[in-house]
Amino acid sequence: MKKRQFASITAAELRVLEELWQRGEATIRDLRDAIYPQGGSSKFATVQKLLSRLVAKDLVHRRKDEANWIFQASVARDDLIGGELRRVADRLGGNSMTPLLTCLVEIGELTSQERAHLRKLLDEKPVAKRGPQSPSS
Amino acid sequence: MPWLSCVVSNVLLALLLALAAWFVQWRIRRPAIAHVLWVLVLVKLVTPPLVNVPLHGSPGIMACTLGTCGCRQHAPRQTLVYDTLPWVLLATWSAGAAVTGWTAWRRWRRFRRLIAHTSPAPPEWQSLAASLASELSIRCPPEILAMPGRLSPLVVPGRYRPRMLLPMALLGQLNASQSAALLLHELVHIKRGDHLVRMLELTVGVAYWWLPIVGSIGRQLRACEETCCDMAVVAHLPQSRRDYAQLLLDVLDFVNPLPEQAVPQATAMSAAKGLEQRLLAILDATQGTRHTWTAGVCTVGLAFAILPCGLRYDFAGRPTPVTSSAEREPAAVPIGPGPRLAVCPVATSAELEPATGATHLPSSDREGEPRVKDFCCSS
Repeated sequence: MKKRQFASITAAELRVLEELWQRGEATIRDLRDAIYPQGGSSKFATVQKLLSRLVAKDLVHRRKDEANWIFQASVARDDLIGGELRRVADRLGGNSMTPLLTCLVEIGELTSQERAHLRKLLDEKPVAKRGPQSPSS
Repeated sequence: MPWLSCVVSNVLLALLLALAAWFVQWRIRRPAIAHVLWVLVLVKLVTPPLVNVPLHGSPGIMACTLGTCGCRQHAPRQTLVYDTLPWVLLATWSAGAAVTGWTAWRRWRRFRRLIAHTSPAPPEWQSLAASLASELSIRCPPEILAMPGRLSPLVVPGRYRPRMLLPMALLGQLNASQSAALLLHELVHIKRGDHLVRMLELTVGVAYWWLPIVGSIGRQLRACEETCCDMAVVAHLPQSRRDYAQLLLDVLDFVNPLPEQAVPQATAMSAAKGLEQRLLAILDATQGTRHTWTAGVCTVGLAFAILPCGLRYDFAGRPTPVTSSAEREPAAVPIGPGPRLAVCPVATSAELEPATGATHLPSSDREGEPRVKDFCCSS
């Protein structure tokens, strides 16, 4: 199954999505009241703009309910956050110009043959016994 | 151009240290010593030289090539070099460093913002990590977080204490032995301060964005870190060697699951080879941590001695343009006994002196005698 690639999102868009994940579905007014409690019509337009961007990125879908548009997240929280973390971590990992992460394994694009070879090596190679010289740790 | 001289000197001495580190890592196979040397290579790159070691002979040729020799033959070039080139270089360097630094800062800020959406790791992992941290005498235990997504377990520097990020989906797939090995590996990283070395690496990467060897130094540094951590884990959990090696492959499969129909891909030979060597080292109990303190102290002591040193070049002395084309021809002059050298004629006091000023040049210049340091080439 091909893994879905999500478009990159901003902090403000993520805040709107957090609210949608929490509520399930919401109108623009609901989101405005939750994110900008003191907000007026200008904040209503801000939320509307953020939602239209999220719809364009296919992260939110909307439906008409009588007079209002109802918005709902079309992506699971863990999928989106995990995908974003992975994307940023790749740029901060060992192969980047600006490494900041210390990873357990440097993940390279290993082929299936290479992985099979490593598994076979692990299965066949016995654990070598320590000699009479006991190294200090 | 004192700053340019410092940079060239630092890069040359860092290359010298890097050669030593490479030799210790791959020939003598002492990852702990090699790690210290690689760190010193990075430190050397950002340390201003405190003690200058003058170089004779070759700087003259280098100075002539760069047009900073003071020879009349290269005078037209010298003015351009002295007036324009340093500023162009400095501006390019600063712009590149600013872009690299800004990119890193933006990515880091984004990563930190995403970390805010993670949750604390399950209590059993927290308690296991706490007991292992106390065994390792870690003064500032890390914050253990469980993150969504398919990432390798990792350690990042935090504001007050480091953070260990563990993928939530992986935690349920590990047995007790693998869990301990995973936590131990990351805790050893924290105890060694490897997450702080990343900050140094970042600083050098931003400052020396134009130096390709910085990336290679970082890779060697991380290879040494992983080897040292692997050794510490198998020394602490000698019965779990196979489980630990299995864990590395499990993490690999977790992060990049194979597609159902495997398609031949571009082969990352270095990654496969590196991982194979790592697995073999983990399984090989005869490869303990060899401590030869004399060799280690001598190597690291020598490296520390190089740190404050700098190489001084013949960049000093602003050149003076010459008007007479007849005087630009090189002349052969005898310099004591031995071979005759072809030298670039040096401006005499009369030529160097402005029309109205008095000369303050050394007597050799006043008499029109060439100086040894002004020789640009030998015949």
